[in-house]
Amino acid sequence: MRSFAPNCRIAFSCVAAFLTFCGVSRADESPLDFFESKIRPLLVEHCYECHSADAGEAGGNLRLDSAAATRRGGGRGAAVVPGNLDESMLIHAVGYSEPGMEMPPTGKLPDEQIQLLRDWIKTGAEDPREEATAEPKAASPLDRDPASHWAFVTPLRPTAPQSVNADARDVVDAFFVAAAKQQNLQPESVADRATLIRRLYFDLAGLVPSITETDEFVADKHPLAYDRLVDKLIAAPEFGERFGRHWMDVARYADTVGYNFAGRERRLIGSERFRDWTIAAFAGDMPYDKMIRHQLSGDRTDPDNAQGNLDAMGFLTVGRLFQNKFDLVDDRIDVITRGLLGMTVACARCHDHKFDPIPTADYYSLAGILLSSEQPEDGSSPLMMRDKAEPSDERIMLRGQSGNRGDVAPRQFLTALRKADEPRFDDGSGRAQLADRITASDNPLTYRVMVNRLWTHLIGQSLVQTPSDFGFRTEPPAVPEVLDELATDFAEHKSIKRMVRRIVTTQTYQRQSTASDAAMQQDPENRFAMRGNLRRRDFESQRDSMLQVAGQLQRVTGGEPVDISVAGAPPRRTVYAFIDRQNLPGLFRTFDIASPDAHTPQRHYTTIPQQSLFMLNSPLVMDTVIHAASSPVVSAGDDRQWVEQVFARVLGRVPSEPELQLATDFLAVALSPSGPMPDPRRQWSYGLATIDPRGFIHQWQPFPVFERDRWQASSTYPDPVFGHAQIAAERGHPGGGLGGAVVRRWSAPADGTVTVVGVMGHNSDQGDGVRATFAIGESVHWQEVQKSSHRPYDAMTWPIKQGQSLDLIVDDNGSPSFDSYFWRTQIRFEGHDGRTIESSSVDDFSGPLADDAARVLSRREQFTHLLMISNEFAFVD
Amino acid sequence: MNSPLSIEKRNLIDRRQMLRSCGMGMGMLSLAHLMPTSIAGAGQPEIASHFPVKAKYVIHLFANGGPSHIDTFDYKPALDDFHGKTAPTGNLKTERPTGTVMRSPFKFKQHGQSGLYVSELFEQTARHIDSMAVIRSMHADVPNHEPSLMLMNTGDSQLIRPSMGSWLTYGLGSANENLPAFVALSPGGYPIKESENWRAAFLPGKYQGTFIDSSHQRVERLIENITNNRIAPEDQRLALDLLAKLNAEHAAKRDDDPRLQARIESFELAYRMQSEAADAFDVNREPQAVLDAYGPGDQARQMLIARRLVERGVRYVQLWHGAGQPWDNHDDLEARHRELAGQCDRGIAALLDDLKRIGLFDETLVIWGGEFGRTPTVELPKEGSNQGKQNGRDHNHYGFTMWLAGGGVKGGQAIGATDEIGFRAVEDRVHVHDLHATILRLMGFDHKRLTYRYAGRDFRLTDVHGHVVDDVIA
Repeated sequence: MRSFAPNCRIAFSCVAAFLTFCGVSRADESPLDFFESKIRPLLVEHCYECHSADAGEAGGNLRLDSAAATRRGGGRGAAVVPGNLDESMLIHAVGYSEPGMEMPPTGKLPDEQIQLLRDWIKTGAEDPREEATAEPKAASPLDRDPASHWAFVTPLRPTAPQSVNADARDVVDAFFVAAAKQQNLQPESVADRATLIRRLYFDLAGLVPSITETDEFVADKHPLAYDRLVDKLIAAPEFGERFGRHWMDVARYADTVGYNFAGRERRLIGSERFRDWTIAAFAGDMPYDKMIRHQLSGDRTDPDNAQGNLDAMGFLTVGRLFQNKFDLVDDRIDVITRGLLGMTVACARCHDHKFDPIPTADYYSLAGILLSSEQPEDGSSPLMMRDKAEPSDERIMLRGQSGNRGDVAPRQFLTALRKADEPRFDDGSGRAQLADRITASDNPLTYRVMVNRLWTHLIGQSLVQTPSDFGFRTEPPAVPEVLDELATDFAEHKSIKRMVRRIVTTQTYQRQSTASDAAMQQDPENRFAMRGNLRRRDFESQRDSMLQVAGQLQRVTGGEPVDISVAGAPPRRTVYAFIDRQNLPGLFRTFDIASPDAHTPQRHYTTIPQQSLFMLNSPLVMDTVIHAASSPVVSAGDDRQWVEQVFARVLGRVPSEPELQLATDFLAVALSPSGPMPDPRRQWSYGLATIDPRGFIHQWQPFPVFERDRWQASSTYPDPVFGHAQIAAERGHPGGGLGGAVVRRWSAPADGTVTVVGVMGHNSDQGDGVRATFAIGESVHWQEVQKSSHRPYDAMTWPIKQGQSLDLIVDDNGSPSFDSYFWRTQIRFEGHDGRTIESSSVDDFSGPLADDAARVLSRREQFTHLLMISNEFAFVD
Repeated sequence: MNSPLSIEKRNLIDRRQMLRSCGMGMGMLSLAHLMPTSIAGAGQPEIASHFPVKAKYVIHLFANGGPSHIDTFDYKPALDDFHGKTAPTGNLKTERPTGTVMRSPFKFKQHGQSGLYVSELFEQTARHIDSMAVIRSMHADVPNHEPSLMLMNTGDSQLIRPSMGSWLTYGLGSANENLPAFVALSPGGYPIKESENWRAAFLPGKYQGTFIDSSHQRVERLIENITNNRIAPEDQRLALDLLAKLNAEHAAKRDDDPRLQARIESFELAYRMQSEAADAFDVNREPQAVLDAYGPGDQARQMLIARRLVERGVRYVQLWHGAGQPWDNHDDLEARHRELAGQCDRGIAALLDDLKRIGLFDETLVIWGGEFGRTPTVELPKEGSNQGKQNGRDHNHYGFTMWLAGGGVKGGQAIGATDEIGFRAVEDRVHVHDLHATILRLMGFDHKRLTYRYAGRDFRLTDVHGHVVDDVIA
């Protein structure tokens, strides 16, 4: 995007100040001086950025950087006609008197400057500037014939190479081997059966095979054993979940609209319908052209959502909610063009594409289609769009600025892909016709782009390295015949399952991922596919597989998204996770899931210590480990047997002898006597006490009920006996009298000293306030009455013994009304045994904690944990 | 007292000792030797610097909500003359209607050798005025919080673009792989626009800012998964040693692949991070004299955390004043500004002192400001917001003040000026894009050449805008 002013703001203000000071031209100034001192700086400041040879395609074909060009003018006539203000378009433009030609577009010039321009023209428009000898400009991509670029030409099925290797299973294998031969590369052999089944489970289900499945497959001598396994996996519901999630990356899926102004709903209503539609479409092998039609024009293909295909329009509508309709449209243009066509049309919002044959008009053709569509409040699907009653074309926005309109851009298909005599779109908004053009069997991009995506997911290496940009600068694949062979096949049959089956049954797919050093050096990126690619599990597959081997994974499909980032999260497949676009949980960012902000061509795969922290420490992983280790398959028995069982369960194989030895040695070591860092929440308890008038506790009982984020005396609130007695994270309320004091209790784990610092107070100026006490055992260390107060207290330190507790006691100070209080305290314990424990009454406040959550992991559980976080589990050969 | 260099050296030694103590053979050692470059975000800068690097770290003090420049760093005696009268400049269009000129309720006086005026609100910070370049001619595009926050943080008010901290960590790489390179701290919760303020957008996720609610005091609350309540540290060490052996067995059967080694090493990094992060965030480890200098409260603590983070090699620390938009004083400006400045003035002064004391001031760029300033004219009462009050100021994007100090900044000067009542920047105007270009320059980058290719084009923080403000640079 460009605009006029920013490059010259600083200088501009100096000029402005100067001009203001000098006033207009003085009589003793020569016309040349006047031009040089007043006019040239002004033109440079405000006009050159767009209207000069340096600016590239000059705005409106107008240049103002030479006398000749200025007089010649642009599309609307001469910019300057010496002596004639009326005919000088420049004056109309800066006067903002000509709608659509307000210049500069960033704001009207000050009157003094406009007057200078008028004076200049009136007095003959002296202008010494010669035609800039512009360097020969790089040819515009619009001048290049799109048909000269491989990707813009409909692929033809290539003829098979003359010599086909004997063991080729598919012509694709033959193409690769023939091309590799030219490079002196040798194919690696096919991987062993155990590797292949693990690879297939990862690619087609995102999960791991059980050892039984592996053993059966390894033992199956039937010639079609591999194909049967492939068919089984492709037919399973997990296939839809696996490939559905891949498509959700393309569609920038999320369950919230993003930022919304204060208090407005953020949930993207019905988002999960798009997710479930996507999964069902892949599981049911919906033809790809139909998928696209439903996603772009479900209002035509299934207007009442009878088949659920109207929900497919979430492809357009699950993006971020932008406040500005043009930004909303921009997001949708991007997902359509990069997602379906591998064309970066959004680059042409403000100017013709710098590299590709995409004029700005193309952008506004699509914008016109989308702006002629609307999302009804009461549609059959919350995700649907429909045509507006009166569709209309958009005018091009010059430089992307809404106040600066150019020619009308008729609603039609992209220039590079349009036939010369092709009629414009005329059916409603034109969305359905756009879908027709994208899905046409002879579209050179649609099927290539999708085949390349499928290939990338299955092989772990792309044929075309930029999966969402097939523009002029994109090199053809190392072996172009492979892409064209598969794309023509796909364009003919349009079946994703057929294509996936074809790819995974090639020999290319089945090759082992190890190779000689020479081969690695010769083709480090493996573009000739003579070996397999070692792959790291994506976040979804890693998490799902861990839950799977733990026996926890729930196979429920579809429905409301679930929050998987909190302890106790339901063990659903990750594809059903709630995705908050605005504040994506750290867990998702840490593991590089696709950003829901925009279409994602390819995920990043980073390795950062936060990932390892999650694997080492997160309560979610701990929970899964305990399940895995306690599951009935992994039963008692001696250590060697147990190790064999856990290897089988987690890694699906038998351990080697050295591994068995390492494992049994590890299991034999006693647990560390010092134990883990205690969970600071467990040092706290909350209850009711009867106290004597000085504040000593006579009798204490824990609160029995935790509801609505607070501890209370019973499920009835106020309680018939204890009234409003309650304790919450920061607040509380005593019950009535000395029998109803409320107590926050922190128990010391050893002898030592305890230091408190914090703030307490009381908000009401009515009633008699509350009395707050710090006591340890029978010693009252601090006591104050708080009323309508905010009382920070500085550090106080007291001795404490193991088994004793520090009590924060609040009583009603005599009368039980207006007694709501707040109390935040930090505790620092320094034990005589050398340990330091810090705790916060707010951070460490909690409801009841499961007893099990405190249990220290046994050695066996620790070992199970190691296998689940090992590289062997995380990588797929 | 540790210089970053000595910390880096220490880490190196730790790494060697760790490897030895893990009982790994020479094979492991040589693999480990490869690791620093294979780990994402570690050591190596992503982009070679274009200019000498003046500053290596940034502490951005974000006074979110829009502090009033004319009540803090832009002294306008004419406000007294026009008090209660119509603004001589006319009332520029801002978010809400404003009325006559309102004088500043705060006293200004000159400070330092440079004699620049600062109001009593930042009396302590003003001790450092000779180290500060005060840009009084800042301007932005619109008078609303959301787009202005986006502009200030990402260079674009609407579209999804990476934040400045993400750009800088992308450009500079991490100086300490045990901590996140870009940290955003805010006591009590998110500022408005939330994590969009520190997002990586299309840059890899590792450049996203890590948000930390600095009202928490314990490291478990500050960094996710930093402790384990089910495994003793000694047992975790033992388990990690075994994991390293199992992973080494696994790697030995496969071709050299840096990803395998990177993941092996990342567990060791995570293990060290447990103690290093705890150390970085525990301000109680500071000497009492230092704690006293910063004073009490969330602001003081987060500034001290910022210093400890920068000292450990964190590149970009953004300190938000608080959740929401605390400096947005449409009414009761005198009381509210006094309270807010009271919370941070002492801490800012202490932070600058402290950076100078430990020798990091020259390598750290400190930035202070909001997303815009406030009007010299009084905001008119409005039902439901500042009903019945005429004692605040509206948003003002036409002119406001930010100051820079530290690495490469020429201190003791004011740059640019607003008009006589401080409504609009008129001299040497500095747009937010220009500020960004200048900050990148101080960090060693040409803002036109720090680019990232995405969706078919090369993006940059300043898009097609931005001019370096040369006067800022020493």
